[in-house]
Amino acid sequence: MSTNHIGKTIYHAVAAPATNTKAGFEALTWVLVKGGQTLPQLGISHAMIDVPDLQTGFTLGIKGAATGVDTTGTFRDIPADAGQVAIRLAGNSQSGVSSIKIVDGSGTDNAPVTGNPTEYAQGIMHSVQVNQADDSSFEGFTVGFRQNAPTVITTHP
Amino acid sequence: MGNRDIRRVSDDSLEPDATPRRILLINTNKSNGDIGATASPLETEIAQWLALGWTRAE
Repeated sequence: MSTNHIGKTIYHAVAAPATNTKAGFEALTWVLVKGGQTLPQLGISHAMIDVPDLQTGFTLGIKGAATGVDTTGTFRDIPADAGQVAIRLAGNSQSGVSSIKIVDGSGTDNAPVTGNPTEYAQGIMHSVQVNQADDSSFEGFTVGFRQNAPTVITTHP
Repeated sequence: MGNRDIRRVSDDSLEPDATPRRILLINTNKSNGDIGATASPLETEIAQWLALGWTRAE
């Protein structure tokens, strides 16, 4: 049965782990980012290498290098939230090196508890943009996240 | 007989700890992220972190 994404929370760390593993990510110092509306998509995309063959007349596709996806997270404004401050600082910094953790929490108010499904990814935060002001929208911002290693899918410690 | 008793006591004291310790590190290499960022890797993985420019916290 399919389920929705309600209850997922995102955490941010201002560093990449030494190893792209559960233990590596668990070593980082995480900060909860409140106000998440759309979370960055995690995953990779492979280039394709076309190999034509004159005799068969068929172009064979072989797998090329992987690239992390580059997607956008959307947040409603929560003044003074440490996580939002951190993720915006990272997005505006020179390197933007960051890690994110997305947890499908099952505790009180969807807080993560041990054993909850968890995804880790490292990459760069970039392109912070505050919402355009008009008379029918709310304050918030978007930030890009370009993934630089495969996602680590595991459970919350 | 006496020597055997002493060895058994010594072996017990060397029994490995079930949970590895965590060591607090500080980042000193901007390619890892923010300078001053902290991490607490397992003691068994410490060499990989130190090789990338993380240092032990004082």
